[in-house]
Amino acid sequence: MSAKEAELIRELKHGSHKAFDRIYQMYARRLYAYSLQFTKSPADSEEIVQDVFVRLWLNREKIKQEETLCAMLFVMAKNLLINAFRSKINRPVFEDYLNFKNEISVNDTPNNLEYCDFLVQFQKALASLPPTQRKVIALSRIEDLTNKEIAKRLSLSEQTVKNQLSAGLKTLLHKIKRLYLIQEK
Amino acid sequence: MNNLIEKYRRNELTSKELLELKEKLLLASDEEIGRQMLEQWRSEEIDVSSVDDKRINRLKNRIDAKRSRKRAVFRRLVRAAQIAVAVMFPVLLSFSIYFYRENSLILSEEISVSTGKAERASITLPDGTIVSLNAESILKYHPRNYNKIERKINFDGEGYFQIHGDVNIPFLLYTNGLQVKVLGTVFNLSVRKENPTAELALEEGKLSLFSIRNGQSAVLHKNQKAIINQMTGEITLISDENIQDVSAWRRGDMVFRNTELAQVIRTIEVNYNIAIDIECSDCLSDTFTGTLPVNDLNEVLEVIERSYHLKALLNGKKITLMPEPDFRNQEPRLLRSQL
Repeated sequence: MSAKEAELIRELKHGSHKAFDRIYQMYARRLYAYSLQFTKSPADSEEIVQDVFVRLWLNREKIKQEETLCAMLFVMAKNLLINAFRSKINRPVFEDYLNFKNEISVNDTPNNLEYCDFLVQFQKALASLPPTQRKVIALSRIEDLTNKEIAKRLSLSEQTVKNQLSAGLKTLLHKIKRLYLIQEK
Repeated sequence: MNNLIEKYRRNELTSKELLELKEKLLLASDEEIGRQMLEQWRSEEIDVSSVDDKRINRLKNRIDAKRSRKRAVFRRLVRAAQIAVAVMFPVLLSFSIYFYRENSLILSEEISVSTGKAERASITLPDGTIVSLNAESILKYHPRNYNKIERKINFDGEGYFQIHGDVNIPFLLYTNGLQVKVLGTVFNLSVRKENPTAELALEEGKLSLFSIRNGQSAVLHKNQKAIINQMTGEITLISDENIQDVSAWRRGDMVFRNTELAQVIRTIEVNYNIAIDIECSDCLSDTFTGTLPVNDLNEVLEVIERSYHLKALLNGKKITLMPEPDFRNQEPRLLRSQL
């Protein structure tokens, strides 16, 4: 650890706002960019950065002098990152996103579609579906309910849910694709 | 797994690989995932070129608001206040109880304002109503109830009332055999037991009058005077363009218009706190018109002397008015020198 960083930590421990501002300018961008890789969502990433820096300030007196700022910030963000990672990867919509990406990159065009952009398109396309399909997809892809749970909640048979879901998703992805290709051109 | 996480971060995962990653993450502990993340965090150059500076600055403002300097100061103040409250609480509590009891003692008592002979007083009630009391008058009210749903006072004597206008809370005046209800007016009321009639002179606004003895009620308008017979309770209304004469006592004058001398003498007696004997057979029912001062007995007596050809004689606190011829030239200025 550099002498300069040790000095910054010392000042922060004594409640220096200047030191806090310096540390934020040094690490906030990096933490934000790193969080974004796991959350795939700007809002969630901002939340993590905010949470970490507010806690850093409130607990400044308990900071251990020998730890580096870099390691310290990661430790503070770690659990938030892991939680975001686990929840993101298990979202059905994320699977839809990857499917969609695979589909559109068939003809070898490099696709740089971001997950959050996909989500926006997904919501837009969802609104144009017939009511039953819309409800089934929202419950399945966004609220993560199983087909059985959806069937119970909407008073439908499980088979109907299954049919509506596959038909609905097909139309939905088709719509997104059309929108996406129009935008690309 | 490392490779898969890598691909996830770079958005290069395929659907098939996603399933694989999901399975592996399900089995992996948080420590394991955390270790790998730390490795990447430490060793990699993380690309921050796409991070918007505006976003980072906006976020900084939000963070600053959360950990606000003011808030830190505020928290310290709150702490200090908490200690202060803890220390002061018993003290304040006993003070509050003490003052509350004192206060309710005062509030629960009826307040009365009275004037003796030759005295005058002015009182402002809690609602802003101003009452001027002429000599030998009394006004009572309960401060706890006054101005809550009504403004109720008890009154006896003569007073000039400037009632503060309030449509929602009626002003009720109770006096010997009469109830006066107003919303906001100016009037003079004279209810004296020694007089056969009570008199209410309304200068402004409108009021209603209820005579308890005979159940008669009347509504008075501006420049009207009500004469109430104190024996029967009967109300007589008369219009009077010189209504302000009635309350002339407030300005230091007694104004009489065609008033019987007997009434004039009574007014002088109350006003100067003296007793007057008048020795004449027929002059008492004569009428008198004129203005007499309330603070110069000499002048008052001189006017009466000249008007009725009487002579005033002072005997202790008692004044005797005698027919003039008997005293002419004998004791011409006796009274003046003795007063």
